[in-house]
Amino acid sequence: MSYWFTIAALTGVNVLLAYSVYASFMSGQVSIGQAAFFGVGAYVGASLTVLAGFDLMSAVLVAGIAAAAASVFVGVPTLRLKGYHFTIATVAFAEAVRVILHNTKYGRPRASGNVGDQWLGPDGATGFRHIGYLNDNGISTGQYAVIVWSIVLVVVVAFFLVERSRIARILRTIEEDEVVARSIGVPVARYKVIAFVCGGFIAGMSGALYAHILTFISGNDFVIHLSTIALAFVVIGGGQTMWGPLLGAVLLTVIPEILRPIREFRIELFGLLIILVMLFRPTGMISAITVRRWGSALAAKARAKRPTQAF
Amino acid sequence: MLEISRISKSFGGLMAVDSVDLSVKRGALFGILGPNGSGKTTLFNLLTGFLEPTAGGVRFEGNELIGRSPEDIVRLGVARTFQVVRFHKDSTVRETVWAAQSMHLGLRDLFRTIDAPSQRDLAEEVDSILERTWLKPHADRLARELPFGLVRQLEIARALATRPKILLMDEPASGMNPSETHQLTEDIRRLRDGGLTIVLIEHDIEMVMGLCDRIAVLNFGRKITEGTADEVKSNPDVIAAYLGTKKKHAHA
Ligand SMILES: Nc1ncnc2c1ncn2[C@@H]1O[C@H](COP(=O)(O)OP(=O)(O)OP(=O)(O)O)[C@@H](O)[C@H]1O
Ligand SMILES: [Mg+2]
Repeated sequence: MSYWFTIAALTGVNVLLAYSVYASFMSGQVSIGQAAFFGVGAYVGASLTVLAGFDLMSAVLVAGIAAAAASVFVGVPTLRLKGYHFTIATVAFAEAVRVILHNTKYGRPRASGNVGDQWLGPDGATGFRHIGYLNDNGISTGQYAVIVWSIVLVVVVAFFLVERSRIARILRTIEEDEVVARSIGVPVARYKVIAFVCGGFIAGMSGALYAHILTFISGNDFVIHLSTIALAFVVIGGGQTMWGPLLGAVLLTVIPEILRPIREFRIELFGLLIILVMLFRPTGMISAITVRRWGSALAAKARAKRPTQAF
Repeated sequence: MLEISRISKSFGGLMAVDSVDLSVKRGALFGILGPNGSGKTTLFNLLTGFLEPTAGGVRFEGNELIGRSPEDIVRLGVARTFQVVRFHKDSTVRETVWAAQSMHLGLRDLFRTIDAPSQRDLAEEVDSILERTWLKPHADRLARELPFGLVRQLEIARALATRPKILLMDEPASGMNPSETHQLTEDIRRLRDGGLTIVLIEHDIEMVMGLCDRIAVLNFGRKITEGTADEVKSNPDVIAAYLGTKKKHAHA
């Protein structure tokens, strides 16, 4: 059972990671570097609970803020430029962050511990071990899954509200045609930076949550592979509405686990699924049109229930 | 209201706009004519900040426009429509116009939905714009499903939502059938009568002649003449450069 709770918590982490990509995706900016903000969040979050005695929630929030600050650093200079500069910058930044995390050492010696395992805090290439917050505070995996999904719920609701607001409409206009956006007075660069920084914040929280399930992280957890999977959640689930990242992250986390018994073909099947979706539904599984149709179907139902008003 | 002085733009060696002076008075309906490639669209791009001029200046109500970004220029009250229609395909007509109100709004309003009670006034403004542009019956259709004539109207509706003082229209009738063009002529006149200053680029000479109180003619980036419809019509340079060639085309 505990295994499935771990999967549930990891699924929540992945949903957050997917939304971190989606935030800037809405304005047409493709980040292949979310692993960097995820990694920054993981290291900051774990450092705060392990070394500074923070409680989990505060650590997760501060990790989000730290990752948001890192994304300002990447976003401000590159989002003014057109074309692929931004995407390339995110890849480069993610690689730089990985190398830095891989070579970071701070913290203090551990009282107990075997030879060669006597450090509390990030220890260079050995990684950051003994992130024992859950154990120390008697939080079960089941309880942790609930904590993770509570945060997911807040983020999903936030996106649900934003999606129906003018902000989303403006971001979509930027995505489709920046010239139109500027012609109606939209400060395009500012919108893009803010969307990207929100994504950085979410990735940071996600990373901190991840670190506390795994209890052991290292720079090599945050490779470009992770960034591309995060992007795949959005592209396969569907990048046109906020339901896509949710569906994509859940399916692409749970399906591989279900397929675990046929381990050898798992990755191949996974790859096949991606190819099939891209071939037959380039908009991803859920498109904007689908959501609009559901929306009007629901509205029609609600109207049918209400007694008709006579004028 | 709008003072353009000796503005020029060259692309490589080509002078797309060559030292053009124009002055548009408040409440005017100003027409710009010129054959293909004579620099009309380029002139609009210079006025709206999408291109930097090689030389020259533009003042609008005392503000220098050159050096400002397009988004700043709209904020001053200069809106435009595009010759090649551009719009967000997956937005409905209503959403397109609704989004274009954004620059006047604070953060709170930006986060509100289209049907929020606090947004009544803004929603009414959208409705009134849609009504004036014949889009009201199509408000909930996706922009990409509109017939072409109405897409042109959507361009105008979106520009109006920015609450402009002056509207620069780049060939709003191109691709319209005669009855749509006739309707548009009425619409433009009505907009002007409502207090909006309008600069109109059009290929349709009849339309410009009938509608505009002042007309400038460009050829190879230069202004060859400016005046009332009658003055322009009788100018030999215009006949040679524009009307003449047009006639030849018509016969060919
Ligand atoms: N971005 C650009 N780069 C290079 N040349 C350009 C650019 N934009 C316009 N031109 C050139 O400048 C000249 C003027 O073009 P412009 O589009 O302003 O003409 P126009 O009067 O609007 O023509 P039309 O009636 O066909 O719309 C043309 O020769 C065109 O090829
Ligand atoms: Mg043109």
